[in-house]
Amino acid sequence: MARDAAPVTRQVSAALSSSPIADDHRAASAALRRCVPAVHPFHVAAYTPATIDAARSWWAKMMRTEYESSSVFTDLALQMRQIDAPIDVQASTLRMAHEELRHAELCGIVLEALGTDAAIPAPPVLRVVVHPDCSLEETVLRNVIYGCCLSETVNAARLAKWTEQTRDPFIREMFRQLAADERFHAQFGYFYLETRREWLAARTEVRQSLARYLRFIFAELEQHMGANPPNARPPTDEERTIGLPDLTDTSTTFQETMLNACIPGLERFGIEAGTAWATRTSAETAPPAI
Amino acid sequence: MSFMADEPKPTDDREGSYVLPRYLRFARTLALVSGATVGIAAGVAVISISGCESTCSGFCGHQVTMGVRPIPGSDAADVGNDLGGGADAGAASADAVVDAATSDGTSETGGGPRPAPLLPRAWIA
Repeated sequence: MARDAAPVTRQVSAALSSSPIADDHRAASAALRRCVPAVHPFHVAAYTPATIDAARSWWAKMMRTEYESSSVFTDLALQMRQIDAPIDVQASTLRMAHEELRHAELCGIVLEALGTDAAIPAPPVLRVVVHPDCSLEETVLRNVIYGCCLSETVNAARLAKWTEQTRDPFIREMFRQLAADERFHAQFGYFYLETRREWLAARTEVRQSLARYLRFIFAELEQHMGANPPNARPPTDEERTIGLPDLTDTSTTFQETMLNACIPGLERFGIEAGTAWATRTSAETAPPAI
Repeated sequence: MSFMADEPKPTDDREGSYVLPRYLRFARTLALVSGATVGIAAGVAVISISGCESTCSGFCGHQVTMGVRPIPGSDAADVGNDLGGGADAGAASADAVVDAATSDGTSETGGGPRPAPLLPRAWIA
């Protein structure tokens, strides 16, 4: 073995294996999909090279984040197993992991339509860990609230908006496919809280702990997915047609979704999310009690 | 440097269904409808929306083949019709990435959740 060989850069590709496993994957994906796909051609020549390049970049980023999040749901399923969550809850969590992989595959299909390879550098594996300052049950709740009730609700809202705005039928169909799954991923969070309603109602200290945790993750999430990129500008007509989002409204869509959907949704379970939002902070030092 | 918008005001329940943009009504429905439809906590079988229906109007006006479907008449069902078209030891393993910002530190594409971040040490102490 050559000790001085250059490090191998792993790639993630949407290409399936050349084996019967691929046939099984196609069959499983078709059986589990949440809506029937519509077939539309994509006409790459209808757009300028600059717009195609921008779309390639955007869908490659999307492929990465979809692929990354699969391991998040896989680990969450393990935590669900550790607390012996109902079998349907565990199974749906695994299904969401499968759907994130399928989303990466869909993004790869878009990249191929855009005339480039459906492959990206392999990102690091994201792992979900037990939070040392709370019980395993609360760790699961934190992950569900962060991942589903907040992140996926914002994602579902934005996909709904992008589906509405995109005029290219091929790209719009891809957004629609993604939104059909993300809708459930968001709602899973609130459904799961419903399964824990009595457990939460009997534990004031857990509800208070979750509200305190929300103060941190509201701020953290706002930095990650609720801040307008510094170079954001409104899309041109052609960019809007091909589905490139208006990133100047990143902050607005985040805040409006938090205020009008996530916060009232969480407060239904006795978690003081509104107060947590108003006092959110990502400061490293502990904030004063409310 | 990123930029935050001026914070909008929350919209009250009565006003919401009339003035919120469609995508927000959709999101709001996702967050607010579960209480009326899930009976798991009480041990009741969930049959009203969980895969027992072969069709629905769906998020965007197409057929949903399997799984939980939006409640008819809700904004989640309504949105699309006129669209135009390691953990078991309590600590991270060596290769765990728990502070999972993507390389550019933000995610404008969405695409899926990251792991819920740990609280800073000072918050725990």
